[in-house]
Amino acid sequence: MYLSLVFLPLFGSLTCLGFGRYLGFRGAVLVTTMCTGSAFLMSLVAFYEVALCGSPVNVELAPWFVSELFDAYWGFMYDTLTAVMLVVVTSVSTLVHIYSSSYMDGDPHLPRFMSYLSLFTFFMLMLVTGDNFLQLFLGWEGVGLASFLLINFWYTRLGANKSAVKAMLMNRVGDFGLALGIMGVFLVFKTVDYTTVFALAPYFQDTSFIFLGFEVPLLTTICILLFIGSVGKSAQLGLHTWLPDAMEGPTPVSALIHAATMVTAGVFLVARCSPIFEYAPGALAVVTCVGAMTAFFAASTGLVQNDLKRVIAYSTCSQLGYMVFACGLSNYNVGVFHLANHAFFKALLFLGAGCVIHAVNNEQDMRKMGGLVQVLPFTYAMMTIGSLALVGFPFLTGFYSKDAILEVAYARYSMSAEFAYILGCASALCTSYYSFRLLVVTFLGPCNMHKSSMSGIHEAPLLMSLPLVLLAFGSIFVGYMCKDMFIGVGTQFWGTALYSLPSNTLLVESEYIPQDIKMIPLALTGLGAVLAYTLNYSNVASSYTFTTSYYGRMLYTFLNKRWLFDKVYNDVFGKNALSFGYNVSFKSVDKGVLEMLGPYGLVVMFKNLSGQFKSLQTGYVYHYAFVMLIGLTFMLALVGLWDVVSVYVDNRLYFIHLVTYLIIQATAGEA
Amino acid sequence: MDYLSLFENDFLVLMPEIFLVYAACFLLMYGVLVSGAPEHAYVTNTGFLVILSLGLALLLLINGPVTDMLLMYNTLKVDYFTFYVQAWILIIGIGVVLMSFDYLKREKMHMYEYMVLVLLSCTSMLFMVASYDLIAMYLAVEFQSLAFYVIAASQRDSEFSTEAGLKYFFLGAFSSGILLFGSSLVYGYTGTTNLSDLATLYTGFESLNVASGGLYVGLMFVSVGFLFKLAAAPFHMWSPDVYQGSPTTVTAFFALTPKLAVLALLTKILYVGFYDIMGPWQKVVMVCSLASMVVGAIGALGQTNIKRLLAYSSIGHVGYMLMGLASGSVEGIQAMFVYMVIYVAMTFTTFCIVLSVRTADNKPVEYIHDLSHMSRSNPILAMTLALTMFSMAGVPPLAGFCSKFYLFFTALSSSLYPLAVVGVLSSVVSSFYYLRLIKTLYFDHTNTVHSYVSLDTEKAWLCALSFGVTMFLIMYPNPLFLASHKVALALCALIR
Amino acid sequence: MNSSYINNMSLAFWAVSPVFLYNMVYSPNSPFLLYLILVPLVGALALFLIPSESIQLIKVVALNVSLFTYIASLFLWIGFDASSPNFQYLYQADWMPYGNLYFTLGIDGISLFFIILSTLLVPICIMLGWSSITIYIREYMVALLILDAMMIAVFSTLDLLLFYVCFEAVLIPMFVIIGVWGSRARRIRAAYQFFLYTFFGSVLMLLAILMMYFQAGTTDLQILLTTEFSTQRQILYFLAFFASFAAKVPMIPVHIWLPEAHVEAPTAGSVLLAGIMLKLGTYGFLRFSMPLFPEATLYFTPFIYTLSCIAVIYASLTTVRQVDLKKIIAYSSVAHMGVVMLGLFSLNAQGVEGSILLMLGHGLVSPGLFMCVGVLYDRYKTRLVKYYGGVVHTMPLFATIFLLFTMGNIGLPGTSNFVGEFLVLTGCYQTNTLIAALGATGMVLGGAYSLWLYNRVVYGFPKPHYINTYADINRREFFMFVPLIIGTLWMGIYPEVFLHDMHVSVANVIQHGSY
Repeated sequence: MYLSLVFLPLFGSLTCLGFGRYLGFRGAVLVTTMCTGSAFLMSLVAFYEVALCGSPVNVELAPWFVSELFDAYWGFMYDTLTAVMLVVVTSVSTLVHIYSSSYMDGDPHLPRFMSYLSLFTFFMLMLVTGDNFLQLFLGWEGVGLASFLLINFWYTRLGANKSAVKAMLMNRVGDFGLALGIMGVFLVFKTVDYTTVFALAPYFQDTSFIFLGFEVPLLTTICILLFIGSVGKSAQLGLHTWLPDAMEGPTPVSALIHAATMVTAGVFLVARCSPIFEYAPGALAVVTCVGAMTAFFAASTGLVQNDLKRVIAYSTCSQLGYMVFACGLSNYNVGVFHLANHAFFKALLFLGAGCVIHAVNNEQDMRKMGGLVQVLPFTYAMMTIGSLALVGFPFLTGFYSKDAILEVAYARYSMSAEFAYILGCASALCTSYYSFRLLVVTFLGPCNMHKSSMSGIHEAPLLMSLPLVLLAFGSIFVGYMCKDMFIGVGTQFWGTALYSLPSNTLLVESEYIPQDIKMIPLALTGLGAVLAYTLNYSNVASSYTFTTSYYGRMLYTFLNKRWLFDKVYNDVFGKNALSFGYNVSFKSVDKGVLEMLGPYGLVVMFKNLSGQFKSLQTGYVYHYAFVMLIGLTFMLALVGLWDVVSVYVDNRLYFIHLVTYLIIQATAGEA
Repeated sequence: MDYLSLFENDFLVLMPEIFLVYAACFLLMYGVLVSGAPEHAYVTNTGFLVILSLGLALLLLINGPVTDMLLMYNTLKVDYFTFYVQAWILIIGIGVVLMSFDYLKREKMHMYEYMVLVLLSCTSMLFMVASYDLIAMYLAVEFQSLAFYVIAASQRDSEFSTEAGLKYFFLGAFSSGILLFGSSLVYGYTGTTNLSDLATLYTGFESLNVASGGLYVGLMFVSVGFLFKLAAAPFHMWSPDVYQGSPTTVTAFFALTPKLAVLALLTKILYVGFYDIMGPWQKVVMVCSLASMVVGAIGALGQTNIKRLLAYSSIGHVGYMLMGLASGSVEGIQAMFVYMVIYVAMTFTTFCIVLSVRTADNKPVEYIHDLSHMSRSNPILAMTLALTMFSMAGVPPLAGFCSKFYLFFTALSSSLYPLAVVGVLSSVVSSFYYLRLIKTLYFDHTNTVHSYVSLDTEKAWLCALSFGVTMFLIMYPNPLFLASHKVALALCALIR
Repeated sequence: MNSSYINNMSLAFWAVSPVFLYNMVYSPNSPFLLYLILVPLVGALALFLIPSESIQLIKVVALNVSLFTYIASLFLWIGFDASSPNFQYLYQADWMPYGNLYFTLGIDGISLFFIILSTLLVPICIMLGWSSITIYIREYMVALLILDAMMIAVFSTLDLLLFYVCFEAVLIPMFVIIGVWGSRARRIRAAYQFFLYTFFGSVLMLLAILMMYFQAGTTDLQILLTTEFSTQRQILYFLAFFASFAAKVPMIPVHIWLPEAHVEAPTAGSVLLAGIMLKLGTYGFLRFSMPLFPEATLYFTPFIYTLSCIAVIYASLTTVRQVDLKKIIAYSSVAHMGVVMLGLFSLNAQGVEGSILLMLGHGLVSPGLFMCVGVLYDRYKTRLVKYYGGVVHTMPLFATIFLLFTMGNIGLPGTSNFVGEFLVLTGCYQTNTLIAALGATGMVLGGAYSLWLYNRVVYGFPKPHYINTYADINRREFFMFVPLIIGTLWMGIYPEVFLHDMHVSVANVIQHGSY
């Protein structure tokens, strides 16, 4: 079961890809959904066995590649962390499969789409179940590939093409770090197997090694390298630019990949490597700061976006920041808890957004919507539940994890934690603002739609609504149900899957922070909601005045342009690399220097030379005789004056003679 | 004078040469008698008679009762070295005559003299190789040159041919003068012209520290005279003109035999007579070798005329052979002879093919681009030529590589690093123009139609044989290496 | 001769061959390697006996001979003993015993797979030329079969001089292939460059070989391995060998022949160049330079590291800006070979085994890519990226195959290149993290150009303006791709079978130099 759980989606995918033509649309949908659905059921069983009953499972399949000490095996490891991820992944995936069958209905490439979705699921499962870094890396890159394919699904759209490449490239930058991290792990531990590495981590606590020519603390470096991978995959600050662009893909894809599962792989990685991270305080600080900055950055950017999906995308980015800094504060369980919760409400939001977009004839700009509450009450309800869960409305799912994160951040009393707390609170404000702005502008505000789109508007069909309802239930109840199990004080749930040093455990501490402080996030959320309502609905004029003022415009542009990250990347890295590739390496070196010194230059030189030889060959007998005489004289001189000459025919000088000659020839050729 | 012993042994040993001289006289008479015949046939007949005599001479040579002796008052010497070289000269002579039939007929050169001249020059070269004395050497060289001057100009109705003959004559005379002057200087300073006497005289000469400028000058002059005959740079100027102007079969003859005979003689003189004053001549040979390789490589780059190209190519090859000479070791000689044999094989193939292709207006091909249609009209010949060119460039696994690698090996083992390095570099450069020929054959898809001429039987056999050597020598090169080793040993046995 | 007759003959031939092969492998002292070299040579000769009118027969015979060679080379693998540290299938014959030169053949775990790779690629190349070659068909087949033989010889020879001979002999057919069947007038230039670069490098190697021969009295590798050369000599020899191998690899300052040659060569030429020829250089380093000159190897490691890093970054950046499909793949080969060099000179098991795997993987992926380009070129007669777009609309099957190879090219886990690249970088990481990091940038940059290429060609809107005939790949083309696809995935998912056979041999190399 444990193996078929992983490989069923692959089977579904390949069947669909290979025989999609014979299966037809319905068949393709059925096969893939069945496969993923069964995987989900099995995951539930696995969750019961592994997580609830506390019996981790290891499956060693075969060697993958073994080279001296390097051993990568096809092995699967099921512990609590894996089990949680399995449930999250397969449940969301199944729902998305169902949703897509209706959402993508009528697309001629439906089988391909379903196949890609299943393929993605397979790689994601590989990622979470692998028992060594290499297999994780396989899943890691595999989901990247699937994401590339899915973003690119509508391949005639230039935007889709661009974002697909961008997504994969940005991810590969992260993978670059991850790969270096894995190599570092091998360098130190001589294995890439989790169990061994984690068991040995404490022994390398204070050692250092030479990296890039500098002596650096060992575990910290490795952890930071691994974290770079997370930064790429989880769209943390620096490598986040791909995530908003990835919204070019079909909406179910955004829900599955860019909200619920793939992007959380980075968090998963940090959580999985908790036994190493725990012994690398420097790395933890970095993780915390990056996470916090991401949370704030994304939230602030989300404030002013107008694309429905982009808002949610930035929200995702911001929430990922939360998860990451929770992990950075050694509260991996809180991070993973938020991950699981987030999967439900974010998938709900995206799928809801998908319904809206579907209804309004593929329009994504919020400004061109409005007043949809009258025609799409069900979707509105779903979106509201999702948004409330997201902003951490009390007793909804998001509340339990998000507040816990902020509380532990407060309770840590360290520089980075303080930093994280402040930014986290600020982001909570922003989150609430943009979530409600989205609701207000889309559903409540005045209608700005074309009549033609308005006339065709309709509530989502059953197959699309069903997943929404299920997810809504998840968004409401999962947090409450799982809180004690995931982050309850003294819970045995995690077993050995997550590890934090006793000195780093903060959950108890966080229970004892002042009540006022505990209320701050909630207050900020309320404030955000009010602001959103005021600025976008009741008092639009004030927001207009603000954005048209000088500083207001600057701020607006800055935020709207996403803090100008893309511009800087394009101008600084992209342009220069491209110009180097053409002007320097290709034009000046390959076709310039090397060509001149190589084929072209030599050909010219020899042409000149042979021309000179030819002109010596005059055809006059007396010239010939003269040359002979000169030759003879030369020979006599050579022998007679050998003592004088021998200095100049020293072996070592030949090279210099030759080069001198070449240069003379080359200049002569130019003249 | 003991006439008895003269008749008993010396003539016995000289039987091939004597036979050839007589044969020449007979053939001249035969020619005069039948030259009135209107057809070309009498030339062919003479040709076959020449082949017959050369073949008989070869038989005489092989079955000669004496393998090693000095004769004619120490002016000639016969041993395995001479045997080997003489045999090759005769074989080449036969080959050249075989090549010529078709060509002469097509070019309407109805001259039986041509055949007889080939015979005579072969005879002269047999003497050359055997000579063991500066006087004998000079006489043989002059004999050979005389025959060559005439044969170069043998196409009487062609201005080029006449010009070639004339040029060859003037410059040849010039070099003969140098040669003679050198010999007389040597004689003047030592009082002897015999090689073994010279060798005895020079034993330990360099360590004596005797001021002997004149002697060195004499040696220089002798060497330069020979280097001229070899067309080694910088004394090569005549060869492109002569090669181009002479009838193609004559060009082939020039490219083949004198290289062998003259180089053998030069080797003999330098190794036997002047081995103990190796310093000076080694420098000269080295410089000539370097210059020839470079000139051969670069000079040929710009050529469009096939015969000129081949002239430069042969200059280059002479450079390589001189490398073996310069190394001053047994292996050097051996490598040189290996190289020579392979060079002969490759040159035969090349000339056979060049001779058998004709342009659309039934003229012999003159320019490289005339060959461009060959790969269509005559694929097998084209492939043969292409592979031969690869071989000339020294690309393994063809025979050309075999010869070169051994030469480089000896050069390196005698610490002649500059020679080896320049050798490989110039072989890279020269591969450029060999490739150009291949390019013309295969890559240029021209539409010009060239007449297709099938090979005559003689050339076909010749071509097949020589190409076989080129192709398959690398598989079992042992016999060649052993034979040339024996030659080198025979020569070195003479060194005191 | 009608086709059914031809088919019957082929069938009969195939029916008998396994028995024949089995006997050959398992009869003691049978010179199996020699037979393996002779089979394509005899085939090439046989082609001359077939009248030039029966083109079909020529093709079929050539294909059957090459396939037979391939199957036979697999028997080589079957009979291979992975646990033995010695060279296997040893065969020695007189060549020039007078000069102490012998014709020595033998393989170990390193050369085994290169032989199989070459014999695999040749039938594919023959099929590539099945309909696209219209002139000099017999010559084409002969050239390929001779190449086949030469490549088997070059990978199985244990004699330096013989290695040199075969190493150079490969030039002749390749020169002809580029020059005769290339696509544009510039092909001549490309052929020249290819020939002269390689020739120039290798004559220097010849001098070094002769020096070694002069010193040791033999060129037998197994004896030379027991010879110690002084450090200065080693450095000199290493440089000379470097000149030859670096041009072949190609390392950075001498790489410019490669894009030219690739662009101008016919598809089969590119396939062989990328698949096998480039590996001759790296194989040479591994087989000769590293074990023979251990001190020089250590001495030059930083130098080679530097060059290879430059190669990776520089070539990748150059690739991004190319507009010719083939040039893109050619430059990417330069980058990949840079990674291979990094692996070799990390001088530890991971690095070396990784680079062998990467060579093999690259030997599958990059021919695959060239064949993809060839498929496009056969249809549309252009190789400029800008004319292509939206190919997936009309050629979905092709798009899938192309995707697979593209992913192979960027080293996606699960494809052959990943395993190689990762092992190489791991090996490198242990010697020098900076170099490993620089080498790993290839992962990112490689992704950049590969994805860009794939996107431009396959995705986007079709350009009916330029391209108005459509056909997905046909059956013959599909079956050409199949072995490469299987190989790529196999080596990505279960490369252990390959690694298992090379452990001992690689350990030998490393131990010998006591690195």
